[in-house]
Amino acid sequence: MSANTASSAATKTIMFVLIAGGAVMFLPSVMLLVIGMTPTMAAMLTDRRREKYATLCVGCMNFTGVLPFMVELWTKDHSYDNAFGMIGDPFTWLVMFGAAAIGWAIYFVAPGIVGMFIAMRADQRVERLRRRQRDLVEEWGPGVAGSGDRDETAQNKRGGQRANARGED
Amino acid sequence: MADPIILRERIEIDSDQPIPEFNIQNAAAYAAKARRESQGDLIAYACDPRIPHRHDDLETMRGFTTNGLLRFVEWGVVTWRPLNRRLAVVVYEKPLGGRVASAVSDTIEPMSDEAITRNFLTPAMTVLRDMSTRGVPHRGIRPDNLFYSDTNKRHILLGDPLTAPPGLNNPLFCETLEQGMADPEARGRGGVSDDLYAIGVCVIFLLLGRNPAHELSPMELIERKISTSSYATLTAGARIQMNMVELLRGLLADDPRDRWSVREVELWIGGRRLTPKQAKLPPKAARPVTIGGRDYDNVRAVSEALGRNWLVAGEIVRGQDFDNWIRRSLTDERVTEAINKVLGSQANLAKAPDSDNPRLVTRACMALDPAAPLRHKGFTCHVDGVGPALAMAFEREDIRQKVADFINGKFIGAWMSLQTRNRSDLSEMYGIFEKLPIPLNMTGVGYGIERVLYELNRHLHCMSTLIETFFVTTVDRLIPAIEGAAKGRDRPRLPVDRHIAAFAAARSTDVDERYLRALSTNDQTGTDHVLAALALLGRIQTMAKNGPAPTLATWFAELMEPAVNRFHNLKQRKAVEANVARAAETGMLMELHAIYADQKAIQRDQQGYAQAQQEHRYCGAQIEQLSLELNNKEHMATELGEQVAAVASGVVGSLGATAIIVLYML
Repeated sequence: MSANTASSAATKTIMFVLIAGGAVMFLPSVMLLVIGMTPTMAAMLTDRRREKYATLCVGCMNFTGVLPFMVELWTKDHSYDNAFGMIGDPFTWLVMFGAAAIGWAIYFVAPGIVGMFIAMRADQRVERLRRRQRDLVEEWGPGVAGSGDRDETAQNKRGGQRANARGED
Repeated sequence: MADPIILRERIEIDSDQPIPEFNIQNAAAYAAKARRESQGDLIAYACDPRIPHRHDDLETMRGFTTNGLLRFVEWGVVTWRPLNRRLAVVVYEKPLGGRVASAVSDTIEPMSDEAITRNFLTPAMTVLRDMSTRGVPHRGIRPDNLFYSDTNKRHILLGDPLTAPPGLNNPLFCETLEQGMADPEARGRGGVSDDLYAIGVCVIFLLLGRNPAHELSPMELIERKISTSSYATLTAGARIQMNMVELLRGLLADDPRDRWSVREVELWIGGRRLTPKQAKLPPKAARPVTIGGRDYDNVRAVSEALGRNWLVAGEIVRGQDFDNWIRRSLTDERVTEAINKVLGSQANLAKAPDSDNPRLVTRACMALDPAAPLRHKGFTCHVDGVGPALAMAFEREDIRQKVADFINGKFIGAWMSLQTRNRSDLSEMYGIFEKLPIPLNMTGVGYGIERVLYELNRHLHCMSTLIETFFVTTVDRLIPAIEGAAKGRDRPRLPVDRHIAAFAAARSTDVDERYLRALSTNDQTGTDHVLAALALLGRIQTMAKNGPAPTLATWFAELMEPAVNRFHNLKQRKAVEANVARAAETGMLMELHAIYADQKAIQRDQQGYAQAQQEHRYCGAQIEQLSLELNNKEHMATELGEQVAAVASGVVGSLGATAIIVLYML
């Protein structure tokens, strides 16, 4: 038990060192990423659900907004100046946060659309089932809906009335 | 004059012209005439439908032309308009001189012995001989059934013998002891010997001009005849010419073996004279036995008294005193042997339960007087008289019960073992009676006392209230009669009742147990019962090759409406209704039956209905489920919407990222 815990702790330490080392090495990119992904972090903090759908929604779109600047940074000049230049450009903020906003929009609009779709589908199915029930009653009489006794009584009454009518002739 | 009633295209009967002076007890006389033959005036007897006529004998008597009997011309069943029903009519030539006596209580001018011999006895013997050759006893010889054949009122004819069961209307004094002791309805066929006895009584009536026993009650008459002989009883106080004494002693002998035959009477007419025989009286016991407060000292009287007092006779028969009387006072070996044979030992009698008393009394009576009628619970009958007795009093519960008890008692075998003479007709009756308890004790439709009625009366018409007026005597007339009744206003609930079923089963071998079993279901009101009735009548219609019966078929279609309505599938129901209407129009009951009895169609419908019900329930459950889902739509939409949003974002993001990378790579 203690050996496993020690091994896990060692792995975590190695991972932390590697990530920290990488972050130091790619610090301009990390800076841009951290600042650009702020809406995702905010979403993560406000998302109470275990599945973190809001975080996923906002994160995906937010990352798509950050990615063009990251790629530009990597492909042109991976320097602090360039990184600060991008961070200082309001257009960069507009793109990154705008993408995050689209993520939020998707998150808020989707349930409404899905709700409409579910209701429409259910209505169609109910209508189909009701039509089938009507067909069954038409073919087999009201008794098929579980009112057989009433049906037979009514028929017998009809028969009796006919017999009486004949007797009176 | 209304339209005459036509009998077999030969006779015209005027129902508006009754001839009451020729009426007989069970038939009213009407004027009639032949349509083609040149015959004199005729009289048509419209028979009382409640009284069975002698069907077999009517057929046998066709062409009987012997003088001395009303000349039988024709018979048949006709629609009798005054009564709006069918009934049997028997036609005779009208005797020119009218009745000898309008009633047995009448007093007439006494006739001389010579006139009686020439004008009555001689032709009567010819008639009895010829009828005997045909195997038909007259059994209707009585003073009020004698007619003058000529206007001079000289020649006497015997009247109608055929409109009623043998001996039914004969007054007690005209009947032999054996016949007279039986209930009038149950006297049985009898024979020429009984006719000769009646001739003897008529001779006395004609000689004296009155009923010789008018002052005696029936019981007194029987007791007198037993104790002093018929001859002594009927001639008591009368002055009989010596030359007639021998004839009367011979004709009125109480022992049938001593009674004169036709041959002996003819010899007497021819001039042979013998010393008159003394009447043989039954042997007397040394001391009498007391029954019902009166003393009796001979077996015949004791037997008669036991039968009459059957309610108290059980204790007497089981008592030691009766046994002592038989063995010590009577000392008749034949009687003792008969008692031992049918009753068993005194020890066995003591062991028998009290409920056996009526049976013991019946057996004791037959052992004491084997020639007498059978006596059971107050019902006194000859074996072949049970059927007519039942037919004439079928509406009486007490008679039905008595006959049922008599049949269940199975007395015929024991009674036959005591008879000294073997009669082939009795063996036949024994066979019938042995089989009767089984159908009698079955309660289903087509069995019971109704079945017994038709088994014992082979030519009785069907007594069903539905078709009684149609006078149906054969099964091939059944369907037309029911068809006719179906057109009436007051028809019952069903076209088949216990009488019709029993009649059909008794008369036709084509109606077997299957048809009756189906009719005998516990539920007599359901369509299964109607269907069984339809099967029965359909079978009869087919086998009898009757034509269509559309009214009856329509009646059945109405009765079977609930069965059609039981078809759940509305299309199929309409199809069945159309088929039924078509079949009803054809009037063929089997076609109708085939529609209702199609079990496969019924099964298919029931299975389909069950499936439809299941499917309907399933649809209902689905709708309910969907309604619940709709009520819970917001929650589901949120749950699913978030997932969809996450997926959509992921997809859009992935596509966007890919596009960006590709854009920068180019």
